[in-house]
Amino acid sequence: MMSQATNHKYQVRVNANPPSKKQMQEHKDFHKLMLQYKRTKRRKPLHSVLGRVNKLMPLIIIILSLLVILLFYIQFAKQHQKKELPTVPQSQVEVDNAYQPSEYSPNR
Amino acid sequence: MQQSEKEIEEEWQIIKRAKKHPEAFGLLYEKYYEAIFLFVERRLGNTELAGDLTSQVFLKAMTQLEKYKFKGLPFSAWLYRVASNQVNEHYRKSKRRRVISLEDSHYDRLISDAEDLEELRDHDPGAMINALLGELSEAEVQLLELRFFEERPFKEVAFIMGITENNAKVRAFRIIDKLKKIQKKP
Repeated sequence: MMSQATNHKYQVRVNANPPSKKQMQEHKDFHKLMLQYKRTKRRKPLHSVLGRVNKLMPLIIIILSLLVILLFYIQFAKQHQKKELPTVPQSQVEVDNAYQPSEYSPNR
Repeated sequence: MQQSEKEIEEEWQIIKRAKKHPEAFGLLYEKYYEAIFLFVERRLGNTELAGDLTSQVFLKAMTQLEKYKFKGLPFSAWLYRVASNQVNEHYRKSKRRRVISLEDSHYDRLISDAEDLEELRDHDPGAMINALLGELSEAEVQLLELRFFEERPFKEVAFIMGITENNAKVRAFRIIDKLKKIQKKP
């Protein structure tokens, strides 16, 4: 005999009749399941795409950070070079670079 | 239903085939449809809803079959795990009261697993289980159903719930201990 007992969280069914085979067969349809499966497989849900991107996110962040650092460094190096060049006296540079035979040259 | 190692191995061959050719999943669908339907219906108490949810369970099983790893357990353990998660999700969303289906034989088994509880046989099973449920957490209720009502072995119970076998045994012992305490209450 079926009886029921309840509390605030659960509804307890005692000796309830299970569904008949016929009732179960009404819902059983493998063909329908296959169609649903094919439809689900065809479209990639957004969260799965985001999930894949999410896995690569640390790598993407590291590569972008390195690129930004590299760009800043190149920019900084260019500016630094531009600032340094005019401060070098031109004549001095020429003198420094000019060939001066040594005092102790063997040809003398 | 206990399966031999040979049957489990044969089933694994079908699963491997189904991973490449989804049509092969039909064999597993035929084999387990009714068992999963009844498992879900006992937890929902509604045949129509159980039909819908069972379809969702098999759809999920099919789409996630690629991730399935053979651990020497019958495929049904994995299906019960998917079904269990689906039922939990349903209750989380609907916020309805959970249904617990119980038979007199389940209650007898629970009592025979515990020592010194023979006198509880004369009590009303519904009232006793109701009192016990008030003392249990959700995970313990799930274990009570799987171990004592569904008669699943501890290894499968542990797999379905995502805990270790030892942990499942300890929790089952605690449930019986709580039943003993209820019995001692005046």
